[in-house]
Amino acid sequence: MQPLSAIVQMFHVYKTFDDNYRALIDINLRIEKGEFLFLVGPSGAGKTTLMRLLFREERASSGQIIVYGRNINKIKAGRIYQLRRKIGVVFQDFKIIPTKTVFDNVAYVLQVLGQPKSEIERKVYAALNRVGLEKRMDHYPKKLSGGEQQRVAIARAVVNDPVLLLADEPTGNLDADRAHEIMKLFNDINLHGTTVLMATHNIGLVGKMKKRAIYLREGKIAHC
Amino acid sequence: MLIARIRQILYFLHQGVKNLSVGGISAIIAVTSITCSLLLICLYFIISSHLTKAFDLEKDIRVVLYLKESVSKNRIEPLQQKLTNYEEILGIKYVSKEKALEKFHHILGEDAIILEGLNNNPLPASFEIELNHEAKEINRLKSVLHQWEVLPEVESVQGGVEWIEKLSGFIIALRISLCFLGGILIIISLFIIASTIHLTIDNRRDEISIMRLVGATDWYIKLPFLFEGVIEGILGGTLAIFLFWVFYEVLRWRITPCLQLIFNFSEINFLTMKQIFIVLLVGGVIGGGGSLLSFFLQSFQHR
Ligand SMILES: Nc1ncnc2c1ncn2[C@@H]1O[C@H](COP(=O)(O)OP(=O)(O)OP(=O)(O)O)[C@@H](O)[C@H]1O
Ligand SMILES: [Mg+2]
Repeated sequence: MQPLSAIVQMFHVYKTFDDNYRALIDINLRIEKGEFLFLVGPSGAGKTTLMRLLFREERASSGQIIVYGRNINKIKAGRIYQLRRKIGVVFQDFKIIPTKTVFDNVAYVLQVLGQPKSEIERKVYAALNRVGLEKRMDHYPKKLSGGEQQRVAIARAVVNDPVLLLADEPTGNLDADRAHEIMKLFNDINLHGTTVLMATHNIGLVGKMKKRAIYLREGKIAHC
Repeated sequence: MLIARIRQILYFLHQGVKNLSVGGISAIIAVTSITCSLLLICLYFIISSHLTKAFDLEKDIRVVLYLKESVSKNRIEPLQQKLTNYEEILGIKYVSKEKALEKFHHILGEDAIILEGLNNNPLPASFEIELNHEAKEINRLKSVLHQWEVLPEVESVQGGVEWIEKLSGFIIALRISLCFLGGILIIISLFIIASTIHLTIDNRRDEISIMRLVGATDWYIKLPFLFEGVIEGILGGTLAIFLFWVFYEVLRWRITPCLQLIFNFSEINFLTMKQIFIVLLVGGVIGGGGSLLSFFLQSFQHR
């Protein structure tokens, strides 16, 4: 066991799609434990692709990616779930299940892991409490505003205490005030010890947060 | 740990049933197709078990020697003596012309009136012979029967060889054609189930991708769909057995009497518990196989 001072390390990572499009070129990156890191860049720069590599939705074409001490390129397809259980993911379009209540959307993650009912209830309540939705837990998503739906997604992402929280443009569909609230929430989560990587092209937001930011341009890390 | 397992299995079952209701028309078609395949298996079971039963009854093969009209009563005794010397013979019974008529009366029952018009008895006298099972060996039987055929007193020999040969040929042909038809129907059912399962998988694509995202194992995601198939299969099996039972009850009263005349067994029995179990099992296996086929044909686009 190596000391886990870095949650993510990327060494000379390339991602080339089937059509020979080079989405990521020679990415070298280190994310420290407990860090809050922004991934900034124009549309098409490769932010989403980089994130998808980290939870093995995509596989790097070459280079090494170490997440929480494991070389994730080498994980077999049947074992990817082990990686995913350590990572929380939040998307721009929420991706919550419309036919499940707020509670069930979050509880889902723990049911998948076969945790006991009482434990699930306790953790889900705590997670919903954290995002301020404990009073809405019996509601269905369509009754919630966009900001609230994103909070459900965040509760789902953190309910199992991930070591890494990936957020891809989480405020992209929200107005400025809602976006600010969500950012505060992420900051909170980060202060509790979860490492956060957030992609955004809202540079104004990044400036306010005073965190380290990495700039992606045409698949490369740009130094500026 | 055990409780968690049980809870998960209940979850899979619940999801499986839920998927079924989502499947709608396509699930109904799937169940129907399994029912058809399994009805064929029921038919196969009942026919083959009764035909072998009929065949088995002939363990003591019954042969009838019809005597010539001209044979006089005093030649009966020596002939019987002669026949009894054959070691293949288990029992021998003389049926006189009068006795034969009486028997015929009995079989016809109320219809016996048609016999009233006869002024002399057209039925021949005969020996009803039971052979022991050593004679079941076809060639041996053939040679014995041939010896009897050429006896001067004997008009004709009925039963035995041809019948056994025909029957076993018939059973083989029936088995082959039922297996063939059943096989085709099972393959069709497999594909129908697979497409039904594919439909429900498609229906829940978003949910499945989220399950993958939060770290559900492959089997956790697939098992409900496997259960869906198995449930459809067992449902099809239950339906097949029920329909077959209705069919059996309706037909039993009609065909039993004529079967009695031909095969001489007292009644048709329904499927045994073991056969019912096999039908349900095959249903479940077809259903589960269909699900696996759909996983195989379209493994949720997983890398
Ligand atoms: N599966 C794929 N096949 C082919 N090309 C792809 C695929 N996924 C992404 N790309 C391409 O890779 C490039 C980077 O895409 P990516 O989604 O990572 O950009 P992004 O930085 O997230 O942009 P945005 O800010 O608009 O979300 C784009 O040009 C995109 O067309
Ligand atoms: Mg993107």
